[in-house]
Amino acid sequence: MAQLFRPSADRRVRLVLWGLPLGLTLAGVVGYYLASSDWSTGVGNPLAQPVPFSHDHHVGGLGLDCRYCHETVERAAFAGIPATETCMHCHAHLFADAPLLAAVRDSWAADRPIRWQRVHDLPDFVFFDHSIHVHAGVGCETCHGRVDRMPRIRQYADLSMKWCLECHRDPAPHLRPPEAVFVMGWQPDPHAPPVALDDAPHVSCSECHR
Amino acid sequence: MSRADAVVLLLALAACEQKMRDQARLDPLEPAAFFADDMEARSLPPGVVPRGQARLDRHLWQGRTADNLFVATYPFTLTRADLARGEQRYAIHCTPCHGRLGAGDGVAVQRGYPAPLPFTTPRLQGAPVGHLFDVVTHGRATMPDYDHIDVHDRWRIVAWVQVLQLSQHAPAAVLGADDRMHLVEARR
Repeated sequence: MAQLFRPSADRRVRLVLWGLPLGLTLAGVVGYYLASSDWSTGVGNPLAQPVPFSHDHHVGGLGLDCRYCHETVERAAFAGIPATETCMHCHAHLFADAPLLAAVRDSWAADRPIRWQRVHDLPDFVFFDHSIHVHAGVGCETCHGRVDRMPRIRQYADLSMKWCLECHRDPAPHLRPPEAVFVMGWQPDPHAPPVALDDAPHVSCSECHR
Repeated sequence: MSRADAVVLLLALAACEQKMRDQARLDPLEPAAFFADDMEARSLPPGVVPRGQARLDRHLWQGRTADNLFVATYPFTLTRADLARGEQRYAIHCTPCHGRLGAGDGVAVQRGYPAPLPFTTPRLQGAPVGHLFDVVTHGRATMPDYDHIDVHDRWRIVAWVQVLQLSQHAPAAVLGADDRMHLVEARR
């Protein structure tokens, strides 16, 4: 009877035996780094917006309060994107003919909202609430970074569950006194006692997932 | 390829689809193809009053009496907390034009926005609170309306405007002994 396998078959079996676990491990490692990369999480990548709005100018330069535009941040889950009317509060008179603001004027004239591109988009299975976090003493800057230095708004944190839990497990070092929540560049007083929590850390699944 | 292989392959593909990430519900301000204008946020049809939200209290909502005159009193009793809230809301919404002290020299004015009158203008000093509330709510001249601010907060802002008016026009005689001492020391 003839040989069923040629001598090269040994090599192939070895290749599969070594190659399969190595390949799977490699795929896992590459997948992990890809999934947590800025490319995948969207960190640092400013999206193309219909109007090149600059937080650097309006917050850092003029000193507008976050809540002038994001007016529901203290009482709703959604912080609120300003209506075109809010832009026109000033820009009906200031830079009223600027070509950069043409989309704002068109929106105002046609009574059609500006189509801003969403920068911070949590998955639908996460139920995040701005008002709760703001009242608990989480500063805007803690999650959104130095917005007052961003000529174009971009994502600061990776918004991963790991990142959420890092704070949820031990929130105290990340919290601020109420008057500092909307301040950019706030530094804790080194002599002040740490913020005391009045309840246990919120880490059960159903805190964020329903 | 066996059937088991096919199932495994399908599961692997399904895992990439992330259907739970974008579920069949609308987030605030998300595009909504269901509506002709593609907008998730619906405005009320004209004339509709949400149940229990009729603005019948003219004093609170319009700052006017039944005779359509501006009221001279607040629709609720002001506490120290109301003043603090008024100061905070004033800082958020009003300082860009009116400035911290209401002199009409805010950052927008410094960049060319038509300057508002200082609150210490005699005509405004004597204005009834209903008038101030009306201006906050409906705007005036080049000032836009701020009726999106909570109605109670609008009254607290009015209270803070009155605080600013009083603090820059109070006769020394009404000050407490401590404050008068500060004044005398500051003069030296």
